Amino acid sequence: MSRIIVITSGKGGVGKTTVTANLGRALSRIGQRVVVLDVDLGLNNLDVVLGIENKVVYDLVDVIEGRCRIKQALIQDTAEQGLFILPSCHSYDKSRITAQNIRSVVASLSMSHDYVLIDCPAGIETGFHRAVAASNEALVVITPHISSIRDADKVIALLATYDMLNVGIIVNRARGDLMLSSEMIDIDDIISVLKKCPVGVIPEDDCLNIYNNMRADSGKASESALAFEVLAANLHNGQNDIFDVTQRYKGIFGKLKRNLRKMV
Amino acid sequence: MKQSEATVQRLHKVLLGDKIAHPTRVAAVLKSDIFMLISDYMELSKDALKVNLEITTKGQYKLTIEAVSDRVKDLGTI
Repeated sequence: MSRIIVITSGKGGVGKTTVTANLGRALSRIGQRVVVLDVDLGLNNLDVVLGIENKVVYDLVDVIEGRCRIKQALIQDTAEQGLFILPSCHSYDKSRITAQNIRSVVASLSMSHDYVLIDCPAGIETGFHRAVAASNEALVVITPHISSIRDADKVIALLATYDMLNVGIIVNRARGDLMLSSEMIDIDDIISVLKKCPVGVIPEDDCLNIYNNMRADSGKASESALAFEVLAANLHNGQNDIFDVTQRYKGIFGKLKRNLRKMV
Repeated sequence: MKQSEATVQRLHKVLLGDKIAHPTRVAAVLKSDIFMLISDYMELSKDALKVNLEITTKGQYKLTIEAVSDRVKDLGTI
């Protein structure tokens, strides 16, 4: 049975789209058939993050309004053959798309894929409802900052009113060096505040930006790629391994790295 | 005090503030639902039912329900 997971956050700019794209690739790498669906109507960027923006012919709205079949709108990822993308349109009257429309598209996609990942828009308005109502699991992306954790707490409470099988959190943009020097809220603090153990911890990684700008997949080249592998394994196998973002900053050389990073 | 500890304390205060804003409305809705449920079993006036929702210093909700009734309904008719 297919797993339908919404990637949400409440707060904008925490990396929902980046997490959706990279988690999709990581799941595909372990042999899963994955489709990522951009429900962020109007402010969609999943196609750009995955570097397929110039391949888009049809989008989600075309599928809903019957101008094409789902298969015609799906775009295969350039890096992973098992990953498909259903992009969204950039300008459209959002009020014409209902939660039921999204639900029926997701139901069709779930028949031919192991995972349907839904990229949710920021906020807790209609767009949030459209994305969440079509899913049966949720991953709340947070960054180790007060505003993000506060919004996540609200979103988790809101998700409790939906019929979700599972609600997990992903800590994104974690800085191991700052966590070690107690200058950033660490993972244990997040667990104690939100009363939830994260499904994944993704380090702040410049490589993600660089590879994104180059329209390339970071593959296994970066620290964040390893973290996404751990996240995918946790999600797929029900494990609870936490990627240690502080590891590379421990020891004598680690301390040196920490000091060098502060100087930059 | 370490900077992260101060941040976590601030976060706790913010979340506590958010939670305190909720209970009045939640308690009113809860009271109405609980009243309907208990009225099936007991003769009860709305004033005799007290539903109190508090926030503990740890940020947990503490729900207290107190009801005083003169008569329990005949279970055979339920």
